[in-house]
This record gives sequence, C-alpha cells and structure tokens, in this order.
Amino acid sequence: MTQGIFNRCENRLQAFSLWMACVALMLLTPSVLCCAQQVKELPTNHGITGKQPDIYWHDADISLDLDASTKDWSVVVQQGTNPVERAPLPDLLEQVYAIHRAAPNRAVLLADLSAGAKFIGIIGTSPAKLLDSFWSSAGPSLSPDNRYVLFVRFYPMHGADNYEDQYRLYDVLGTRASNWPERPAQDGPPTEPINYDSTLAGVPVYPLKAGELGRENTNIEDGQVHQRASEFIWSADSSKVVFADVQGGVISLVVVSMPTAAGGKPQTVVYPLAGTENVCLGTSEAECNIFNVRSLAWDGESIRAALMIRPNHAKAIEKDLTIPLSKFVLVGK
Amino acid sequence: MTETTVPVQIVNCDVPKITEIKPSTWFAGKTYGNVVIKGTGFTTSDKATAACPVTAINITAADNSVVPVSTVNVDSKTKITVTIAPPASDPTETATVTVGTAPNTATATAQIEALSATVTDTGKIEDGTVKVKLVAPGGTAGDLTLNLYGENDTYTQDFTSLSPGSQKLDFDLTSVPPDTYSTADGTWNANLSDGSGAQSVNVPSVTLAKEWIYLGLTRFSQYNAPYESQCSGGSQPMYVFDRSSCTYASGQLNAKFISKTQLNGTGMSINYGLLKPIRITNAGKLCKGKLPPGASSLNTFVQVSTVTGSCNTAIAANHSVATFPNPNGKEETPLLLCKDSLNLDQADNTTAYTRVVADKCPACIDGNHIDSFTDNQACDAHGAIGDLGNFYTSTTR
Repeated sequence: MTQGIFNRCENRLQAFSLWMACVALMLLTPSVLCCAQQVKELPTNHGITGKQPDIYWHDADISLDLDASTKDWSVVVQQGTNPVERAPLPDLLEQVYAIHRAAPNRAVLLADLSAGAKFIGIIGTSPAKLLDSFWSSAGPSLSPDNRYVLFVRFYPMHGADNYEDQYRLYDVLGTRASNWPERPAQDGPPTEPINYDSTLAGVPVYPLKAGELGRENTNIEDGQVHQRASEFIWSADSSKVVFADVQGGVISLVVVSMPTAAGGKPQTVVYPLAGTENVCLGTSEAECNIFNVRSLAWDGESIRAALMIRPNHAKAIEKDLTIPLSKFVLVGK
Repeated sequence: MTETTVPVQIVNCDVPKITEIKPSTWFAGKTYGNVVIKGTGFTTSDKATAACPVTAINITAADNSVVPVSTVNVDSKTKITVTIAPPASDPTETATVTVGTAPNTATATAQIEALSATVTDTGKIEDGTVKVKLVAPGGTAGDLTLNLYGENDTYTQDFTSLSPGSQKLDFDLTSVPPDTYSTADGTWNANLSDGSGAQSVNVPSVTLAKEWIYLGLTRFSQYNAPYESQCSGGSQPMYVFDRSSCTYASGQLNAKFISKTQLNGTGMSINYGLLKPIRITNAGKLCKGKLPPGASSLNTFVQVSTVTGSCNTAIAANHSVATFPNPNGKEETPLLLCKDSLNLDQADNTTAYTRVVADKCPACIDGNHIDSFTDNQACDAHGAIGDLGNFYTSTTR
C-alpha cells in the first residue's frame, strides 16, 4: 500500500490529470465537491505513534472516514444525500491503517491490534454497522478489487513455540455464515463460555489436508511447521494470489484461485522448488525461509520468482525462475 | 751508511663531537631545511685544509640506505645546519648521523618516522564508532578513507581533512548497509604543510574487537502483559487451568483482559495471577480429556509463574525483545540469537536503549521490526502502547 491520496488510480499520470481537473473545478465552482477517489492510508511498515492519523476512503458515491476523536472510535459513513451514519468499532484497536470500499454497501477496515496482530473489520454501509471481524497474525492482504482478504490465521503473538502460518481466505461480499464454515455462526450465550474458535474466520486455503481444517497452529512438531516466505501477490484482475511457503527446508509457491461461481470454493495449487530449482539446497534445512524469496510477480499465466541462494557466510546469489501455472499441482493430489 | 732526514708535519685535526640534533625526529617524505647539529670540533670552510677538510655529514638509515642531505653549512666549530629529506618510502627506523672524516668522526642517532594511520580502538563498534591515530608532522591534513568489510558488502566512508592525533570517528549509520562486519582498513591521503605533496598512508587491516552485526534502521514496536486491574468494561466466563494437576477453576475475567491476553500471550489477572492462553501451552495435550465442556482455546487459560519466551528465559520489562526468525535457532539459523544484546542508536551514534533478545516475534517477519516488552500495564488500546521508536540497531558477538 502507498500513503496518500489518488493511489487507487491506474497510474500517476491519470492521478495527476484527475487532480488537476479537480483543482480547476473547485476553483471555478467552489461549492462543487470534487468527486475524485481519494484514499488516505498508512504505508505497509507503519509504526504505531500513539496518535491516530486521519484515515479515509472517498469516492463518487460514498465517504468513509475514521472518527477517532473520542475514545469510542467509529467509521463515519456518508452516502449520497442519506443522513450520516456511524459504524462503531471495538475498543481493542491500536491504530486503524486503511479503509477500502469493496462494494456499494460493503467496506473493509484494517487495523493494528497489540503485539503486531491485525484486525479485519467488515463494515456494512447501509445501514452502517460492523458486520463481522476477525484477527490475523500476518497480512492481511486485500485483493485489488477489495473483495477478498488473504490472511494468516491468528495465534497469540508471544509465548508459544513453533507457530504455523495457516492461510485463510475471507470473501468480503459473503455472509458471516458463509465465511465461517467450520464453526457455529452464532456467538455463545452471554453467560456461558464461548464455544467456538473465532480464529477460524474464512476458509482454509493452505496447508489444508482433509480432516485437518482446524488443526492447531502453535506448538507444531519440529520440521512440520509451515511458514510464510513472501508477501501475498495478487493478479491484477483479483482472480488469483500467489505466495511462498516453506516447510522442512523446502520452499513452495502456492497459488490460490478465487471461486468462479457463487457458493464455489477457492482452489489451491502448489509448486515445490525441488531439484535444481531448490534455492535451499546446500544450506541447512533450518536456513530456508522468507529471506530466500526476494519477490514474486505475475506474468500472464506464469509466476516470475526472484529467489536467493544464501550460502553460509558468503554473498547471496540471485536465481530467477518463471514457472507456468500448468506446472502447479492441485493441493491434496 | 748514509742518513736521510725527511721533514714530517704533524697535523692535529679537530675531533668532532655531536651534542644535539634539532629536530631529531624526521617524518618520512618531509624535507627539513634547517636541521641544526650542535657539538664541538667542527671544521668550517675557512679553517679547512687538505688534511683537515670541512666537516662532512653522512646519514644512513637502519636498513643501510642513505638519507639524502644537502646544503650543508658548517657555521662554526659548534654548529652545522643541513637540509635533510628522508624519502616518503622510509619506514619508521633509526638513522645514524656521522660527521667528520675518518679517523676523526663522531656519530649520533636520529629517528625517522613514517607517517601512519592506525585504527586503535574498535571497542565501541556497536555505536558505529572507531578510534584512529594519525601520525604526521604538525600542519598535515588529509582525507581518511575507511573500509568496513562485511560478509556481503564493503562499506566505505570518507572522513575529510583529518589532522594528526587521536580521532574518534563515527560511521554514518544511515548509510552503512546491514551486514556482519569483522575487519576494517583504509587510506589516509596526508598533505604535508611544507608543500612536499600528498602521501598515501595505508591504514593496516584490523580485526574488529567484536563482530559487528548491523541491522540498520529498525522499528521497535512494544507489547506488554496487560493487567486486568487496568481493564475497563464487563467480564465474561472463563476457565483457569493448573496444568500440574490438570484441575481447573471456572470464573469470570474482564472481557478486554481476555482479548488482550490472547493477543499478547500473557496477562496479569486480579484473582489468578499470571495467565497464558491454553493454546500456547502444552496443557491441552497434558490434560487431554480433562477440559470441561465449553472450554475453548479462547476462553481457557493456564496459570504460569513467569513470562517466558522461546529462549526459555524470563522476559523482563524494558529489557527483553522478540525477534524474527526465532532466536532459539530451532526453526532456522537466525541472525539474532537468544541473549544477544542489542544496541539501539540514534543517527548521531549515541545509544538510546539497550535490549536483550529473549523471544520470537512472528509478526516481525515484515522486516526491520523487533517487538520490545514494556512494563506498561495498560489494558486500553488506541495507541496506549505506541512504538518505542525507530533505531539504528546492532549487536556484537
């Protein structure tokens, strides 16, 4: 993500042209509100300053503004000539860093919780309401069309051993029930302990095995731990996302395709970097991790991977691969 | 038998003696135009004869090379002035000054000093600071170039117009690339004030006192063990397990405290002491089958006596930090290891904080990010526990 306004435009030239047009329009007719899409959000590796910065999403139809002026934070929704509404936010948020509109009546709010965990809030805009929320230990990454959230299932951020990154996908336009298939959709009775695992938001996409949809993600056996080894990189049309995962000294590229029909499920294919493509070969199994993957990119129906071979105490060597999706194997087969 | 008489004139030449040479230390490469040799028995040109010539001067270095002398003036029986120009290539060595003509000679010693530049102290390399000693005649100045050799990169920095003497030099922490540095060397381009030109003075390679593992600018977020007493709002049901006996108590905990303890991994409750979420302990396995109905990973906690991290040591507030990859080396070989002491520097090479590695921070996979455990007991959010800040961070080993 980038900081500032106009970052949703196709390119800088378009953004600049839009900005110039807006300025001209406002000078000529000050009463006309410029309707360009304006977004204010924080950069990826933002810190937590203790003072909530302004965060908003403005487009032709709607304005979504974080209001952190009191202890009760909310998203202020102004849509057309409708009265202003507010969607209250939970008080666990340390800092909101982005609001994205996903559909005419749906938005996504991303925030920092404590200890590096992230909060994802699904906001209905008419009426304004927090429809669902969940935590993530890493990511989360929004598809370019803001419909899907790929994230790492939550685990407590300190005090455990052998944390496993389990990747899950949330459909922002889905319902709470459709996004929580492995647990009751209703909260527990107010006087009783909650009897579901709220870390199981979304559907699992990797490393999924039949019957293991809800397996633990902490204190995993040595050598069995899956760990994220790259950012999540979406295709421009939001239909697919690729990332790298490492387990037991082997890096795999993982591609998740979004459902193509209502009610459909995402499909996951995987490509282990083996043989001559194994950039971890020659180093200990333990030294194979995110630092072996410099970048991933989409190239049509192929993945371009800039990888790093990191011999012990020697200069790293770059290795570039282009892998067609046809070489990926469906997970579980 | 005839007898022949030959007249013989007995000539007693003065026997020279040197009492002082001023200056007696000569820097290699510098021309000294007025070296004064004091003593007795020098023969001036007006007193010189074929038998007792003008007092001559020869200077030889310890390696038997000749040190060039010129413009010799025997001013009096007690004073000679001479121009001496030890070559720039001369090492530091003793020179022997000989005056007179055999058998009437005298000797004294002088010192030739090579210009030098030496890294003398790397004990504060964690601040990006070294000390150097520059030896040269007064008035000399020149740029010093120092090289830091890392496993992947060589970092070079110029320090301009340095004069002789001991100098504390700060590497520009904003420019040094992250790497593991172990040696340094360099060159001092010394310009002597007498106009004799610049000398390229080699700074011998030195092994740093400690290997310097420089991480560059690093964000230090903070986390805490929230105190239930600081939490506002209502409570919710929960279970607290004693894993030594696999028994549990059911009760209430503040709802916000429950959430914060789930997030941070540890919390200090009012009635049950220090608690950890069951999912990050082995209690679930130890006490399998003994968990009550309704107990879940989000509402069940385990009593613990201390906050420990993946390094299996107690976490101390404002002291311990969590890093990625796991510093215990269990999952991979990390750059930072358990018990490494981190130096958190400002851009001006001063230490703002020190911290010790004690835990894993999975969220720190986002790069240049370390999580620091604070004594802040806050339960509230909204930036109640902001970042410690961004610091130029390193450790030595």
